[in-house]
Amino acid sequence: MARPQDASLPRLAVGCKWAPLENPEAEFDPTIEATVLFPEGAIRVQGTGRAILELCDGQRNMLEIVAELQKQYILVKAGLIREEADQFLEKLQEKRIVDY
Amino acid sequence: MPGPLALIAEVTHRCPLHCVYCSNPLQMTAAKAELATPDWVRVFQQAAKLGVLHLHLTGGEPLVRPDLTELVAAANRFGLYTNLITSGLGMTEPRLKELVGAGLDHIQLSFQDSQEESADWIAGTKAHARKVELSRIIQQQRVAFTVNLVVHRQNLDHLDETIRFLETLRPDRMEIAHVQYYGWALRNRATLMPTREQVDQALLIVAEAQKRTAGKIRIDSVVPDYYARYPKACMGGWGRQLVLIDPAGRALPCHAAGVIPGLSFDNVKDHSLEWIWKQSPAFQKFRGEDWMPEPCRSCDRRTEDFGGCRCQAMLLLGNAAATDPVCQLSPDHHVMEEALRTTQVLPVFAQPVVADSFREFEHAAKDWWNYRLNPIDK
Repeated sequence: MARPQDASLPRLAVGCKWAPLENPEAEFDPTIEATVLFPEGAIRVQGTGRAILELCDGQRNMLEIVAELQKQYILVKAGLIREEADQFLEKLQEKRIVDY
Repeated sequence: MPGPLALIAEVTHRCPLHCVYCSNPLQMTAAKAELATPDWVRVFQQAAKLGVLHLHLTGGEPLVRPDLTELVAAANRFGLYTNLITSGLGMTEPRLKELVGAGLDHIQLSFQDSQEESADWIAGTKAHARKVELSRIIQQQRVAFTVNLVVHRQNLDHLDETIRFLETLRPDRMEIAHVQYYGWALRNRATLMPTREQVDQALLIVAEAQKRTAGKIRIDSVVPDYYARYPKACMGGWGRQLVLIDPAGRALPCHAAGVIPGLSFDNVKDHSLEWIWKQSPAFQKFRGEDWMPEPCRSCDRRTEDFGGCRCQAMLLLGNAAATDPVCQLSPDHHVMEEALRTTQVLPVFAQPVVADSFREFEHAAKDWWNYRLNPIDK
C-alpha cells in the first residue's frame, strides 16, 4: 500500500481509539505517553509519534498536518518531518490502525 | 505489581455450534449457574479501575445471553475496549445495530472452512451460510471486523482457497490460528493434528497472503506449538497480563487452568478483582520465577516464555510445575515427538456424514472425533 499523499486525510481506522487518560493504576505518565486501542491490542505513543497521530483527525490533509508539526518542531527541516510522518503512518496503516 | 491488561469474560458455555477444536473445558458451567448481569457489570467496573484496557466477551456463544447489549454498554461506560468473539449465530441486523450503538468496538467472527459442507461438518451444525450473510451486514456498521479461522489437518490442504474466500468478506483483520490442544481439541487431537508438511506449507501460504493484502487486511497467525522448538509465552505469563472469568464467576489465569489439581479459583461473587489479582493463591502460584524447575530456572528464555504453558505441562506430563514439553530443552520433550508420530499413521481425512438428528450425526462421527456438547442443567 502506498504512502499518504498530500491530499490524504489520515484518521484512526474503524475500531481504533484513544484509551481514556484517567487511570489510577497506570504505570506510565499520561502527560508523556498515550495509548491507542485497537482490536485485541494497544500501542503506546509518545513524542513525535503521538504528535503526528493526534493530528490525524480525518479533517486535516498531510500538508496541513506537516505545517502544524512544523510549528511544534521549528528546528526540524520540513522534508524530514514529512518523511517521518509518512513512514510512521504507513506502518500504522499496515496494522490497520490508521486509514487515509 | 501492574494490573492486568485484558479481561476475558466467558459469559456462557452455551453454544449453538459444536466445533471439534473448541478449547472450552469438558466440564462446563450450566446456564442456571451463570453470573447475573449486575455481577458482570461490577466486575467490568473493577477491571477498568485495575487498569484493564480490553474486554473480550466470549464463551460459548455470548449472543445466547439476552443481556449482551447491557453488558457492552456497561463496559463502554467504564472506558473498556469491547471485543465480541462470536460464531455469529444469534446475530441479526437490529441486534448488531444495538450492540454497536451500545459501544461495541470490534467483532471477531469465526469461520471453519471455505466450503460449506466441510465447514458445517467441523462445526457440527449448519452455520456457514449464516456467517457469510452476516459478514455483509457487519461491513455496513462502524465496527472493526476480524474473521478468525482455526486451522488443523482437516482444512489445511485448502488453506489458500479459504484465505481467498475470507478476503472476499472484506474484513479489516484476519486471524489464522492453529488449534491449541485444550478441552475438546485435546480430546480430538489425533484427527486435528496437522502433518509437518501442512504446517510448512501453511507458513508459505500465509506469508504470500500477507503480501497480497498488505494495507487492506491485516493477517495475524498463531503457530502450532507442538511443532515449535520453544514454548509459547502462554497468556503472556501466568497472572501477568490477563484474567479470565468463567461463566460461574471463577477467576482463572487462563482458559484451561481448571485442569490443574490442587488450585482453587476464587469467585468474583466473593472477592474483588483487585484482591483476586493481587492476593489470591491461584494467581500467585506460577507468578515470577520461584516455582521454575531446571532447565527453565537458569535459561535465558525464562523472561520471554515464562516456562511455557502450565496447563500443557499438566495435561501432557501430569505435572503443572514442569517445563512445557514443547521446549526442546525439556527432559520430557519426547512426549511431543510421540504425539506427532501418531498423527502420521492415522487416516488424514474425516469424511462428512449425514444424519437426521444431532444424536445420530454425533454417533456417525464418533470414529473421527467428539463434537463439543452443551452444558446440562442439572
